[in-house]
Order: sequence, then C-alpha cells, then structure tokens
Amino acid sequence: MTRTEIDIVQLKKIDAKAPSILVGLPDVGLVGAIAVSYCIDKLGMEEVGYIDSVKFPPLLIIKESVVKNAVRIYGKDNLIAIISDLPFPPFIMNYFFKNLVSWIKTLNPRVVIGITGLATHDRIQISKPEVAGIATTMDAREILDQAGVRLLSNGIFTGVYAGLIKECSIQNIPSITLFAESYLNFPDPAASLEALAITSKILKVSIDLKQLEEEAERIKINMRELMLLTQQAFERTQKLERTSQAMYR
Amino acid sequence: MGEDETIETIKEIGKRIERLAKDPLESSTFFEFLYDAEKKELVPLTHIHETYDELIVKFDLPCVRREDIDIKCTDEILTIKARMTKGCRLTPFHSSKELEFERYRKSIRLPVLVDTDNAVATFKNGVLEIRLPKRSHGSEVKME
Repeated sequence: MTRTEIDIVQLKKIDAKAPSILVGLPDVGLVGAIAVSYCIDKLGMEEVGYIDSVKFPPLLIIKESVVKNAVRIYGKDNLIAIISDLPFPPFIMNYFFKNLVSWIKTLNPRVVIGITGLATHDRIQISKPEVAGIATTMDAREILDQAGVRLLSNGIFTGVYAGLIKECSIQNIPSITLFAESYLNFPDPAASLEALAITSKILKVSIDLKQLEEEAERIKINMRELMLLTQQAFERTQKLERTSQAMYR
Repeated sequence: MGEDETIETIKEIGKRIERLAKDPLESSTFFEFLYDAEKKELVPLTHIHETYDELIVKFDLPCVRREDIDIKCTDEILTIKARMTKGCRLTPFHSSKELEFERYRKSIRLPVLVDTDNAVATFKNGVLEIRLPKRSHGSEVKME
C-alpha cells in the first residue's frame, strides 16, 4: 500500500445508505470525545476502519491488550462514528479535514454531526449546560430547528471543529456542530450528556445516558491525560474561554 | 515535516525549556507530571485565569468531598490537598501497570501578589474554584 499524507483505511465494507456521521475529537472539555466514545459503546458500534497519517505523532492505543490506531471509524446500521485519542497538531488540520470530508462525501451522508464544548468561564455556576449549534446548509439548519437547538449567530471559533465545519462548508456537506457549555480544559461529561441528549433526538436513536451520569467522576479521572495533551494543542491554536455572552449569541 | 513545521517545533521545545528553568512548579503543568505513584497522589488539572482585580484558580477534583479539601495560600504559593472518597485505580499513559491513588496535591506559584485574607473558595460538582483578589493595582501614572 502506498502511504499518502492521510490514509483512510476501511477494515470492513460500509453499507450504510445516507448515513449520519458523528465526529468526536479532542477539544474543549473533551465533550465530543467523551460523548461519541460513550455512544459507540452504548450502541454496540463495530470498528470498521481507521485513519492514519505520516504526519501523526507515533502513537498507538492499547485497549484490553489490543493495539488500536488513535483515529478510528465505527459503524452500525446507518450511523458512522469517528473518534480520535489524539489531539491534532494545527499544521495537519487542513490536510486531515480535506481528506476526511472528501471520503465522507463518497458515503452520501444525511448529515455530519460534530460534538464539542463551548468554553464558558462561569461553567462552575451552571448546573445544566446549554447546547447551541451551527449548520452549514439549510437542510442541516432544519435538523437543528426540529431538535429545538438554538443557533449560534455570532462568534469566533478556532481548533479542530473549525477545520471540520470549514471543510464541510467548502464541499457543501450538510453538517451541524453542537456546542455544549463546558470547562475549557477539564473533562466535562455533564456537558457531553447534554449534547448526547440532543444527538439522540437528531438521530432518532435512543441512547441510555444513565451510565454516563453515574460514571462521570471516573470518566473525568480517566480522561486527564488526553485533556492535558489537548491543552497543549490549545496553546498552539489560541483556544480561549468565553468570558462574555456578547461573544457568542 | 516542512521547514516551517521544524522551526515551529524547535521554538516550542525552546519555550518549554525556558519555563522549566524559570519555575519547576509552573512547568509541571506542561509535562505529563499528573501523578506521584509513590505517594499515591494525583496532580489535579488546573486552570488559572487573571482578570483586572482577581486571580481565579480552578482545580479539577473528581471523587472528592468538600470537607476533605485543604487549601493553603501564602503570598507566593497556593497549595491544595484533597482526599478522595475511595481509592482510584488507573493505568497512566506512561506506566505499564495499574496504579492506586488516594488523594490529590498541587502547589502553584502565583503570578501576582494576592490578598489571601479575602480569598474565596467554591466547590461544585468536582471543581474547586479559588478567587484571590489582587493585592494592589499599582500607582496612578499622571499624564503630562
């Protein structure tokens, strides 16, 4: 096999018709990484591929004595999930999302759903984080409207999800991104839970969230190292907390 | 790796060495010193935010009760210790075996002088927030 800058390797054939594609990457509060990882587990999704790159740091994950790639693709019925245990260095983002979204386009997706956190300075005072969203097409916007998700109308975003949204927009792929109010650099399973409740509505798939609520503290401890690595990536992308409601309306 | 990326990486390494030389307490947050296996201690994730009149320090302390947190603050160093409700076992990235932890501990060097008498701590849902008023805003500079 010839290695290119980004290799998307399918281990199993993906038969999904107009699939919904969940994306959970290490970012603010690890909201997406926690949410999508939980969803994969709860829905019993199967690993169908992985993404590798000569530009990724040499990193492999060991799960229950099995060596895994850091960026993996899972599938079940008409749902595909992409997760990463690796924060992306800024210089790779454009290549990565250009290739990833081109591959997604070949699947003729219904919608791409990115899940992340909206870093909120007074998060400690918020007991139920609000989830807002943005959409790249009118069809995707209607999905958000139907799920009762408030649209963000103004704001500046940096980092991995900005790369995903931008590329979906360029390639005219219906895409929504859910932003749950969250800590910037503490894992935030409570924010993931709220985002997953919305995702469940959008996908019209029931996801039992009880375990996520019960095991939130254990998840926070287990995700500390990935959070620290992600913090280091924030330093390079100038990721900031929202300090004023005026910044994101 | 292109030339620009190589230069960026070298600059990043340089910055980290500078931080380490300047202040080992601060630099620990930039390395993977997230635990002390011998003392069975986890080093909590920490976030420091500075406003015009306050220094706000947050610590992530899952599995801790309010009454088990001990906070000490001098002019220069803020130290927190917290006992976990039950021992926690995990396998850190850089360890080949499962380790057991019983408490958190962390000291940070404060970047400004603070009024420790008026510091306020809040603990909610596993996050400790300490608000430290700054001691002085300096002298006024007159415009000629």
